[in-house]
Amino acid sequence: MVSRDYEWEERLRRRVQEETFPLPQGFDAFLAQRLESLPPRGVGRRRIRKAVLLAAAAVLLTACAGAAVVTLKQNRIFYFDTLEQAGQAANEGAAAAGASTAAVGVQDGLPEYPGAQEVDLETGMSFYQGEGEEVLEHAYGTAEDGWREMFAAQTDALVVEQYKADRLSDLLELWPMGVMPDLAALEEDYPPIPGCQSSYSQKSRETGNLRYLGFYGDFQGPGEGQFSLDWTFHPVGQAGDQYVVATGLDKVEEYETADGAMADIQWDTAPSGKTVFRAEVSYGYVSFTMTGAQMEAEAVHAILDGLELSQLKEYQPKS
Amino acid sequence: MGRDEELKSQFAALVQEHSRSMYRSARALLPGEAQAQDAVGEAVLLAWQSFEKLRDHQAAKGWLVRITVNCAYAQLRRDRRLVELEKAEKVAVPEKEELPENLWQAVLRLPEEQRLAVTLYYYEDMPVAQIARTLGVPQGTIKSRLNRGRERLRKLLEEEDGYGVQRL
Repeated sequence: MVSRDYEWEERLRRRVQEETFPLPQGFDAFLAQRLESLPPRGVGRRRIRKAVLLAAAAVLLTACAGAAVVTLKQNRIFYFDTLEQAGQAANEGAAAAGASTAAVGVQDGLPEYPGAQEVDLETGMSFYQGEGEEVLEHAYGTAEDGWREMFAAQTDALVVEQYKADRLSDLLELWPMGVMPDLAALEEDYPPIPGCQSSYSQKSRETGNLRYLGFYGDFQGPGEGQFSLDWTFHPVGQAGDQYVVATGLDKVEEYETADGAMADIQWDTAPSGKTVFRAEVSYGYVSFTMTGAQMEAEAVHAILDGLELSQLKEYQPKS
Repeated sequence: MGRDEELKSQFAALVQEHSRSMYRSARALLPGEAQAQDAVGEAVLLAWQSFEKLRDHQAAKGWLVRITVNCAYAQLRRDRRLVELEKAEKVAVPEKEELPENLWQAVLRLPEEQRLAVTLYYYEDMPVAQIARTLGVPQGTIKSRLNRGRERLRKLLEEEDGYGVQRL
């Protein structure tokens, strides 16, 4: 007798073979172009990912620019059992905030914390070799400059700059006025990983207006812990509350920092068995994220307490 | 042909051969075609940087898929923070869920971890042990995800062709 399970297994396998799998239009050409323009081997890996992600985040936030919220407020993450509940709450939340959109998502686990990896500007530059794109400058900084390496590039619409440094405090001049945390104190308590600190900006090529600014740093935490800090300023679109179905996290918590910012923290066990976490504080045009591994809640709280995160609500982009 | 050119040629051939697998793996995790294509593009660059370390080209498929999955996860970590409600509403509060048009549409309706396991097992023909190594989770976890995914697919598709209400 053929069991129902066996029969279903066979049907599945047959359908995989028989049904055409859809590829996006232009995929083969995209791949050919990517293979044609491979950068020289031997450069580090980290910045490839970072550059892509930063650009992607900027595009995503730009797409949310229609979410018009009148005043800056602390954004929060709200958790629900089903996507339907989350969607309904998001509708109500968006309407109450006078916004046309809100964020809804499913969070079924945190990924492995990748650890510190050196910033790779060579590969970052390789993303600006297409038609209408150009690397304008590539320079190595001196001790006076503070930063170690930088490049500037332009596309049809944007001028981008990325800096690499040994400490985030080396990039002080790039930070928006009035919202910078006490980086010296942070770096004294938690050693920054050299070469793993960076800033990335996008400005409109036509108007010079800032469209995106990010600061990213990897740090050695207490004991075996490691963590990364990420400040993202996105003047072209405000982020809002998030309405999330969390199905696979170990724990979620809200933590009020010493200066009154509310941090939404998610805890999980990564595939490696390591404890990983993600903390987020978001106010309108600026989002802060702390990720890491192998750290106790008390240590995470202490770091968040020292970052003066509540001042981020004062950030107002220049019009 | 210089050493670098030779390597580049070998690398391009392997990527072309397994590009469908890379794309499918990324698409199983990411919400749209464009994001999946971006993840493949990023994976190609990352793979190229360490291509010389790949000693056994017979293992290229698993290696490329693993890199692609890692890229997709990294992208997902950022992207999932913000989803336009307009799009989410269609998923969150559907007036009436329509039947999947084909098997892949049904696979895309599975929860994320089941979706990836099912894709690698059925579409990429990877054995459970290899999937477990690729995703860095125990084999038992993969089997569990496959079982749940298989069952969910049956429910999703049984209305389509009447399967599941017969021969029992």
